[in-house]
Amino acid sequence: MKQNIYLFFSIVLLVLLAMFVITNFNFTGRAVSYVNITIVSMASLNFTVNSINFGAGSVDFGKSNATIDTLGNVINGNWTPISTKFIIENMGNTNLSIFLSSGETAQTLLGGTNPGYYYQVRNYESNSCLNQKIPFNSWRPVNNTDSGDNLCSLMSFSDDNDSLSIDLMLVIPSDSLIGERTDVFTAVGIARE
Amino acid sequence: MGETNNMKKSKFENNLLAFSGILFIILLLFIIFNSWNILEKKEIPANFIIGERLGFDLNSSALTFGMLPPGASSSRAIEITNDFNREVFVSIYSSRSIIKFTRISENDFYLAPGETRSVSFIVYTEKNSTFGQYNGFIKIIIKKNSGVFLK
Repeated sequence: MKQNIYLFFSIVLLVLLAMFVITNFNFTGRAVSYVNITIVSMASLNFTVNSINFGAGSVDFGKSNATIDTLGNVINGNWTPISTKFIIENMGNTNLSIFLSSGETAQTLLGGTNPGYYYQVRNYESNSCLNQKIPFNSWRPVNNTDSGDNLCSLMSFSDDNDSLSIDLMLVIPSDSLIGERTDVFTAVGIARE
Repeated sequence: MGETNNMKKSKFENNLLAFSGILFIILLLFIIFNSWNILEKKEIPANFIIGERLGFDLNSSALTFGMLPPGASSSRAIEITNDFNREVFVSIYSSRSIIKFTRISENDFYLAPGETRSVSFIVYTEKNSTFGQYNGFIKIIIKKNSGVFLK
């Protein structure tokens, strides 16, 4: 009885092992790889204006608006001056094209009469952008469209020349929305072959 | 009396042997089914850095999410094309070291022959995330069908 059971298990085991070998060791002429996986040469970073925190403040009495920016300027308001900016670095080994979009507009972020919401791009390290698509070192309104603004179509990856800075400026009307206001920026990098 | 005991003992041993054998076969069948069911396994290295700046790293052989400050997110995508002449089932896993930061746009789906699907990976960091480099991998399993699978 026991011998029969051993024999039965041995046969089953041999059959199963044969199946395993046949299906796994490619004796059937089956090609090894049929599914292609490509890593898309694009990345998207989302970051909040919270990273740049202007803190609490108000427009000076009798003034129609206040202007604050990340270059340390505060005009007609009592905010604490800040100089924190966004730094975008190309850490990889390929040149990039960089796009930037905001989540809000001046009106949706600040509200009130004639609000302003601007950004300014600079080469944080010299010659980081080899082909500027917008004027650098000057304020321009944020762009909240899906594609945003193309800042630079050729951002270098050279270690000493691979970073841009983005400063922000807000023109806050005296009748603006009150409370904590936040926004999310999206930077998209596309590899340039 | 002694002979009866011996018979009982022998019957018990036979039953035990049969039971063990059945368990053994079930286990073997399970392992073989799983290995038979898998057509391909691919592992892609993945990493990101939580730091003060924003950084892009568009490596084409790895899912490098670059550098992101606490509270920020970074996304990259892969395209999967089925060149088999049959439908396949795709499952995607991320390693433990990065799983809590990673979201996958879609998972566990069928791909028709010739079909290409784009899958996005998004790394989210918390506002109190610890600075440092996080390394892991994304594993893509191509199966004949959606059956049970041992990772």
